[in-house]
Amino acid sequence: MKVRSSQFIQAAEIAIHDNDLQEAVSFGTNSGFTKRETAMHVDGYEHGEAMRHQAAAIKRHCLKHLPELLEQAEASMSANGVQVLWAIDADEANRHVLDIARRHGVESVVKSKSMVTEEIGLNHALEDAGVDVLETDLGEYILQLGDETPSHIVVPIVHKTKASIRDVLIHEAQMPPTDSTEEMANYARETLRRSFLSADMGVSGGNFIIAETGSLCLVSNEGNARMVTSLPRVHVAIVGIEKVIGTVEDYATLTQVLPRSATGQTMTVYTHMINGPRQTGETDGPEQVYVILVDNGRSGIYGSGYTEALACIRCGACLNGCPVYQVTGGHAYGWVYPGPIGAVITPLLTGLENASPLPHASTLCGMCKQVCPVDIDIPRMLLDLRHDLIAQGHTDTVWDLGMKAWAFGNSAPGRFVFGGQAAAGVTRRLHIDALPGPLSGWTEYRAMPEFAPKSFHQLWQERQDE
Amino acid sequence: MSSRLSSREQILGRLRQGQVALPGVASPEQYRSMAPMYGRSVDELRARFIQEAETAGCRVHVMSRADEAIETILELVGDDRSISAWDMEYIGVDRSGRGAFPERDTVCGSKIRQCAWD
Repeated sequence: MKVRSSQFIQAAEIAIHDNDLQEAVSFGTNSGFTKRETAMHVDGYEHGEAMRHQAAAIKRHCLKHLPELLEQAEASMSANGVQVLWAIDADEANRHVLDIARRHGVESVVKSKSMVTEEIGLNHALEDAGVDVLETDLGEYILQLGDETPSHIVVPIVHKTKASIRDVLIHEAQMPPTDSTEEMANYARETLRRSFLSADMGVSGGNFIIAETGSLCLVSNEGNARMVTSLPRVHVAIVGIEKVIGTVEDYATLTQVLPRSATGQTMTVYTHMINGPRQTGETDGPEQVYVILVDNGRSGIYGSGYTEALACIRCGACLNGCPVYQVTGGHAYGWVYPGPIGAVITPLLTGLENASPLPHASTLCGMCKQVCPVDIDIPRMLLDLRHDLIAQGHTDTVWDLGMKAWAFGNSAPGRFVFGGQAAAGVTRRLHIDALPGPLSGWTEYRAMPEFAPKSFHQLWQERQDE
Repeated sequence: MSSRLSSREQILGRLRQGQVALPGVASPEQYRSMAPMYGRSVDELRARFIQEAETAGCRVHVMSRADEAIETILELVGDDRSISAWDMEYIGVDRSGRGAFPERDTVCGSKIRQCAWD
């Protein structure tokens, strides 16, 4: 997927004036945020927070021991009959999938939802090789029909209204006209169900891999992931290297905080632990299971000051709570991962120079850290990325001059007092209600605040004189 | 790093280099006590499960023996002729189900393909 993050400001401007997007994203994020609050604290606030801190400690422990856990996971999966492959980048991951497809004479693929396959551009690679690919997650299916990309980590069509989904299904999938959500879902279900039985290969992601058992863990709500991983004769799971955890006990905690944070459920409808291909005497399940462990830039983050970004379990809670995401939606971020966590990992995975506006796409309100099920300090990393931008020379001349003038005015008491009095006098005499030139953006959507009749210094002085 | 190294070796090599810089972390013994998973008895967990299931609209029958479970299933099935099932091996029902449910037309085993489309 092409990186368009450098056009964040322009894309956000368009999104802000898109009424349909505003309606859909506002509804989706508010709903997700509220449900998370309830589900996370269903056993009391203290228990919810304890679980969150436990999950954070687990992920940090697993990250600290990642090389050993990857080797253990590889050994366990191999013992289970899973074929493990490693991919240093997106091209190698796609080559692995295409090689597997050729080896097994695959003509059609069904996919369950996977962000890493979006990251590596798998669908295009398969289609270019003449392999039919069908997304089977309902949201992803609608996006595929409309030739769109996901705008949310968990709810890929959060930017779409019911009417726009209906129109896509009518025009691209020949659905008989209806306004009923249930009928739309049923139509998609019937269409997709036939494809599961005829597909040669299923492709999934993976929420976790448990090193001690070699289990591939998936959570889902629609049942499509179970069919994708059970019915075709070949199953390929594509998983980021950071998804490996140590033990079943670790999984028991993480699989509680993930659905609570993602969809506000204490548990997803389906929880899968896949332990390999069909065994002797079993009548179904895939004949071959492959797991492709994808690096694609992650090892470059590991060990840096941004390592905790790799703890992300892709729940999307930080998106739902972010005041920036709530008005821009996800496409403005210009790559696969939107929202606060996207503003951190997009520059890290694609290059800071390709995503320089993203570290600034935050009010630093701290909500992303507060709702994160593994307590990732996103605001701290956004600030560090801003420092990195300046260190690498990604600066704005007008902004730099403004900051220098501000520093000059505030570094001596006399200049500070004079500056305040001058600004107050000018705005009162000229009745300024909008700032000029490069400062105009500030008052475009806000009222120009009035200066107080007396400054703090004056009031303080008067109090001392009394 | 040599280009002759496999991707596996390159990835693990980079991770080991980065690992050195990472600070120490809490041990599993420390973090498992934060929100203990095993703080309740089996009876308490069963009661909680029943409560949650009933909240979700399920009716829960607790049986202590396999033959009681089969009897309850037959009562629930009533006059219906077909049964779809999952993991019935736990109560001693074989994959065909013929032995336990002889008068029914179809009994599926624990396999998704059979249950959904046969």
